[in-house]
Amino acid sequence: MRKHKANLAALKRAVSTLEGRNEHQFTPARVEDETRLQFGEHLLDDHLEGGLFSDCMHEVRCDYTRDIGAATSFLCAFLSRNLAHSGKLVWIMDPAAQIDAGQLFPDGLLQVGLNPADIIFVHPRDLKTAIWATGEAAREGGLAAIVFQVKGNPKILDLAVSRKLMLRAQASRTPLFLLRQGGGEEASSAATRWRVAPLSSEHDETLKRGVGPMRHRLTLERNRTGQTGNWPVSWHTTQRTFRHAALQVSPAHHRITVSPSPNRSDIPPSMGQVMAFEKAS
Amino acid sequence: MKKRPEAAPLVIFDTIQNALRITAHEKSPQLSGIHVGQSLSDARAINPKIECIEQDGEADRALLLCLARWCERYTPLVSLSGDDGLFLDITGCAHLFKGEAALLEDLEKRLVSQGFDVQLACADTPGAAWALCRYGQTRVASPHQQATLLEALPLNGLRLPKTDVQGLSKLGFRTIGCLYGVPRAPLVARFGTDILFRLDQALGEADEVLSPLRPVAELVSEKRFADPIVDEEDIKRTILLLCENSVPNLERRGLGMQACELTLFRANGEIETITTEASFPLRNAKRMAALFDERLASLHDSWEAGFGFDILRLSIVRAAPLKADQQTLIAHEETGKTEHNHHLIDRLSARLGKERVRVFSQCDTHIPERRFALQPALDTTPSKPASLKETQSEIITRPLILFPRPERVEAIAEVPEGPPLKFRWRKVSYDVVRAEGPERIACEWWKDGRAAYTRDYFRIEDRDGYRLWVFRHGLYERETPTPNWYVHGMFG
Repeated sequence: MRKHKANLAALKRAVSTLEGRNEHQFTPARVEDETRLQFGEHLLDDHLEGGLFSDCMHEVRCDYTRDIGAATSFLCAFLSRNLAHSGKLVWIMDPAAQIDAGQLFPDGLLQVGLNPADIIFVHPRDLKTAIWATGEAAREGGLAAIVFQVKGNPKILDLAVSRKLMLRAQASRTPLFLLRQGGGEEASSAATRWRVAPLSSEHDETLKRGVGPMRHRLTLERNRTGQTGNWPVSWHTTQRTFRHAALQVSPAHHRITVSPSPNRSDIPPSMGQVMAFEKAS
Repeated sequence: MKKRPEAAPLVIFDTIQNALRITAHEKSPQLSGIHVGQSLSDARAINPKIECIEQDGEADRALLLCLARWCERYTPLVSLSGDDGLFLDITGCAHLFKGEAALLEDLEKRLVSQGFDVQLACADTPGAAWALCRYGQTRVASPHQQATLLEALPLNGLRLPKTDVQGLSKLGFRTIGCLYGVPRAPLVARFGTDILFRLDQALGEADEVLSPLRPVAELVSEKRFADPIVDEEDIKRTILLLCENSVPNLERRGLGMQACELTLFRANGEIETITTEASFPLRNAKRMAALFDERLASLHDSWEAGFGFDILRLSIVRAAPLKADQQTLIAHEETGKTEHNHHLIDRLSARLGKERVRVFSQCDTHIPERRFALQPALDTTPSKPASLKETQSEIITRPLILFPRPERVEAIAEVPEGPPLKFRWRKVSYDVVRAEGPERIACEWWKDGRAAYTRDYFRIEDRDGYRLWVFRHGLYERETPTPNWYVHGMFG
């Protein structure tokens, strides 16, 4: 199935070349020797005709400031799947985003599957220099990926700037991710734009109050080369893949059932009866 | 001090042994009869018009240090001589200025034009030069002639304490020459070794090491201009030229640049210094120049050429052996990649400041916010990549995002050690539906003291799927009756 899709994509490109259209306008990368960034979930990868282009700018955004945890974890998991051993990752933070987005935690990164030693943080003085630094990183190349984290929709980061960043990323064949915290939809040159929102853990009968694997609600809001869509996904660290997650209606129950503290009567078990043995002494 | 036209003659005084005495004065015909050491009231009686200024030792010293930096245009080895002089070690530098006499002439001309009144002398030894400059007539002593030149000079020329000079003059020694043939043992017995040591130093029989004010650079390359340059493009081109000049020298020594300094001598005597660092030894002229371009770009607003610069000097302050693999496998993809990375780090650090380009460094502790620190990428030696422990389980126990300062929340929680049921964080209320924990992290009593609270961490999930890392600060009742709750991190 995927092979057919790839063939189809190749044919589409051939047609667009025959029609004399500007190749870059429609296909941000060449077909040959392209590497795609994949999710590991066929549903998504097929939808994207093999994955995201690795030499493009992609945008990951979240609606609310507090969703940044979901957006960051999605991005880190995605990078961990695709680029864990391929070099340094430059993480550039707009000073406005530093205020309430916290700081990446090395132990957490390790658990997602990223090596903290691979990350270079750049904390410029203002957004203008942050954009400059992103441009320089994209031009220099030789990096696994670049993440540019901004807050909201700053005016200075306009279409022209995003176009420039996109072109530089293409030229150096470096994936560039624009991580937008609490920003609205905005026209940009990014090849794809993803909206990430948190999703409740899956209901588990054995561990009713347990927090399960990472889950996100992904929305592909914009896709230059194909259709948009939305998927609930969960991340599996051991296999480093995303899996399509079944949506559940209200998996959580709000009543507290567990009383873990000592010296207290427990809630009666559902079956059988606990007998009190005689004291040993 | 240079003469000032149409102003009252200037006199500098200081408190010496509870009396105001003159320490320096202008050379002016109006000041006849006034001399150094005279009391200020006597001087005022002789000439009531004089303008008196109290000596400011710190300002004098600062000026002398400035002057010392400026003198680096002649030699990198400049050191202070007391509070009122400078030693310039011009060994091997004089020919660049067409000889010693021409160098002194140039030095004097430039200093006088800046308003200084200077005494200069040049000799084989620092001691002889010191004596000649203060008491002698000869400016440039010919080699090995210091004995004859110093013969007639007073004993003060030997840089001796006043008591020694007075003691010697009581014995009838008036000039340095008197000491030449004197038996040494009785002198040492009476005055100690100091006198003869100073004499030997002046005559070149004992070594004297001058300690330069600034560390001597590994390599120095400079360009002088007859007309000062002003244009930024010219400066950049000159920097590239200087970098190209130093590359063959670095190559010959098998070194690479790690830190270098660009000194720009302004035509008006001021000096600007720009430093850059490289994360890895560098031996590529264009890349070295690119670092300075970034520094110039970041200085752009706060800096102007003014009257222009007449000397640009590139000193390689720190160099390190350049590894062979970088020379031979330059085209190798991996090496090329790391070189790109180093170059990027260098340039970003040069432009933004090295405190703004950082990497993780890990610390051995359990307290989450102390487990890591961010350190400048430039200072961190490129070590072997930390071994990535393959995560074996699906269970994530540590948040991806940590707040450097835990954020206090108002929580309703089970007592004594249950998870929170409901809390408000950043003006939003969270209903906890899933919770795992507690994971107890004890305080570091060796740092925080014994009274510090234990933390009980919970991973909680809210009804909408937000996953947070919260902790209760303090054990209920055992440590505090009203423990506070904090949000410390965010999971995905």
